[in-house]
Amino acid sequence: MLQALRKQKHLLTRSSGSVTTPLSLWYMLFEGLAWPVMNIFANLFFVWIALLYGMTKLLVLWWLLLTVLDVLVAIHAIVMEKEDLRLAFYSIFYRFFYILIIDVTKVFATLEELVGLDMQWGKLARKGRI
Amino acid sequence: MRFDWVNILATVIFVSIVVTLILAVASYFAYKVREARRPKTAAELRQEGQMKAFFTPYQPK
Repeated sequence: MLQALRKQKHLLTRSSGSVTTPLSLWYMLFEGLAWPVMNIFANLFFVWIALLYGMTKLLVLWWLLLTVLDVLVAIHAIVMEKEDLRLAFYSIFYRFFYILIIDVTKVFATLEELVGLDMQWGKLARKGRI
Repeated sequence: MRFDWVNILATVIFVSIVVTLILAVASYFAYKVREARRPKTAAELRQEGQMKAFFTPYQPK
């Protein structure tokens, strides 16, 4: 996402033509940069508050609110795709582990991209000969 | 005996967040270490004037 944004950054402020492309890029910017940082901050904030003030009911309710949102979005997607409703159960693990791991990886990858470390896809080099 | 479910759930959430954060950071650095140690590809070896042979050539004696 970051590489695509860097390559197409001139489209972020494009005023002519379709609005879909700039909108997609702004969404990618939010999804790739802002959202992972916000999610990690929210989790660290949870830990900090729990350490300072103990495990309060409000903390649990706040976490449950996010989890209920995840489950509802998952159910919506499952119904739209006519998939097995039991799959919605995995959205609890999504909130518990998956999204935090992905967001930490995203933040590290962003830092590497900002520092300018060489990144590649690990593809096999094609020579075009037998 | 009455369980304090809020406290138990909060502890589970707290521990899972801390453990997940530690594992996520550790796994990212483990991936970086593994990438640094990976064997060179055939293209990289070719640039150094070496060959990556998948089969050992038959050398008649």
